[in-house]
Amino acid sequence: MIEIKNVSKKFENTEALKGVSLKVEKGEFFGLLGPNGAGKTTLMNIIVGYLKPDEGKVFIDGTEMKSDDVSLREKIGYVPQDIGLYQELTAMQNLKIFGSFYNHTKKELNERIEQALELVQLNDRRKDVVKEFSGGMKRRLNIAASLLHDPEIILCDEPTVGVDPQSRNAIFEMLQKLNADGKTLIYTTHYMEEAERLCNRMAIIDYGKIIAGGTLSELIDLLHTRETLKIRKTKETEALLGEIKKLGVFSEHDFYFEIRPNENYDVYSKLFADLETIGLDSKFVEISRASLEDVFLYLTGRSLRD
Amino acid sequence: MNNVWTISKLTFREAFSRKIFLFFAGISTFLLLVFLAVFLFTDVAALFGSVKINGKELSGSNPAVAAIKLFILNPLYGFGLFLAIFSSASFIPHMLEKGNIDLLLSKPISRRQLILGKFFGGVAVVFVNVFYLVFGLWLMIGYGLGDWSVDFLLASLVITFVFALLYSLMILLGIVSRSSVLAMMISYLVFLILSPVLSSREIISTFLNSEIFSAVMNFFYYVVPQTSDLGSILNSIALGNPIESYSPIIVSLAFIVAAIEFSVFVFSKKDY
Repeated sequence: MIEIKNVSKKFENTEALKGVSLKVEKGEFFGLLGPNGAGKTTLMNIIVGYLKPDEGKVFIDGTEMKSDDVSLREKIGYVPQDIGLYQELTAMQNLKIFGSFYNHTKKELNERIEQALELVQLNDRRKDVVKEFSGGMKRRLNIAASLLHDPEIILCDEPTVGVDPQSRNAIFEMLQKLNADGKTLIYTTHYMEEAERLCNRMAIIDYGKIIAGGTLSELIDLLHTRETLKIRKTKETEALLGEIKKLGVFSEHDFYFEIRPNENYDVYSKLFADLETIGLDSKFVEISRASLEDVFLYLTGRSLRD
Repeated sequence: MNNVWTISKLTFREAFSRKIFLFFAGISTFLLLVFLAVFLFTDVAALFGSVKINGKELSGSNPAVAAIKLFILNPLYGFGLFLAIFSSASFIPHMLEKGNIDLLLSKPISRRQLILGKFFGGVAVVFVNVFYLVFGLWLMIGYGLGDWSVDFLLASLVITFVFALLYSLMILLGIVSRSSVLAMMISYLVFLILSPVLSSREIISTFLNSEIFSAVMNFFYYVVPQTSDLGSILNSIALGNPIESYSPIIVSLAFIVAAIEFSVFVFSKKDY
């Protein structure tokens, strides 16, 4: 449904995208993960068609997206990272404005506004001016403004930045509902846990390049082990540091040592046996499943928030 | 066309919600009340009965009424445009703010339509406000002095046209610089200094006696918006006198079209 072929974009001296290729199928919830400045927003702006790539092409349902042809944009609902609402206008007035760019009759538009307000749970605040809204409410209304034409494809560019946990959950549930209704979603974030929770498939982007892609499971398989051991820093564990380091790839943090074991422990009894062998009490050890954060660290040598 | 209309309405609504309308209407009402007081408590016709401009008696059906009209119109022209520039300078930079421009450009609307919508919307905002003031003054002149000449109402169109000329420049400056302050300052520079100076280029040239200087002044006269000359045309129209030269109107129209087209060109080349 969405095909990105070898897209590159340069801003003055910065190469924002370097030969990015991706395919997103109809009905997918696709995550685009990467740190700030990785090129996520640039790619979104190119998909929606208002930023022209220097090289490469984007196809929506087989039709090439061109920046001077606005008709394909009717298929897309874009939720920008920054709030694009008119702060002095009410929620209703904002939605009327953004909905009027599509060929709706007055009745249709009013119905669409009702549905959108219901979806983002702002029916009771429709007559309030946006500047009085909380950050989370503004975010939700920003999403509603992108859904008024019932688009097939929804692009969300970090829609939970600066949002409280309650609103964040509301946004997640709303997006999951849209996906369940058959919408195709592309979701950019630098929060790995969001991608893990929401997306069926994802790509990791760094310095303008896609460095890995696949399902969560496929990405974690890139690591040689699925577990991470966190060993609390104490006098006892520090005394065993030499032995601990032999267990796998070692890193030291403020309050704990982290080990990515050399061996893939499908049976944890084997792991505990190894810990016992070196004299490490298991009460100091916390085992966690590998996450996308670990994948990113493994692929780039950096933490996602570095 | 539908999109241009939508953006125009949006600009109008934006002006309303940002209290620009209220600001304009408040000042206009205050001015109307001042003039009303003058009309009620003084014998205005007698006051202006002997006025001559440049040694000539004013033309029109009643010279005193003509003098009153000019006395009202000239400050109105200067002050009205000063306020209009101040109020509208932020329309384009505000549209170009992150988030706002992202959401607008993701809609099925072309950049040309966006610029045209902003242009017509801004012009409509100023027209409504100027017409309110001019219409109020016309009623006072009508009731107070018995002069119901509709020519005076045409002043609202001329003032709006001059605003459209300056606004097209502000749109261009706003697109290029994204700065409302710069757009406002250059517009004031043109309106308050450059245009009056260039309008008097022939007088200045006689003092300097330099052909190169005259040629440069002539060049700039046709490039810079001719707001001063349009001010003279305003006086002629409002008094029902014939217009001496249509050249400033034609040159201004050409300037508006060129500024808007260039704005569209720059806007369509820029990445946001």
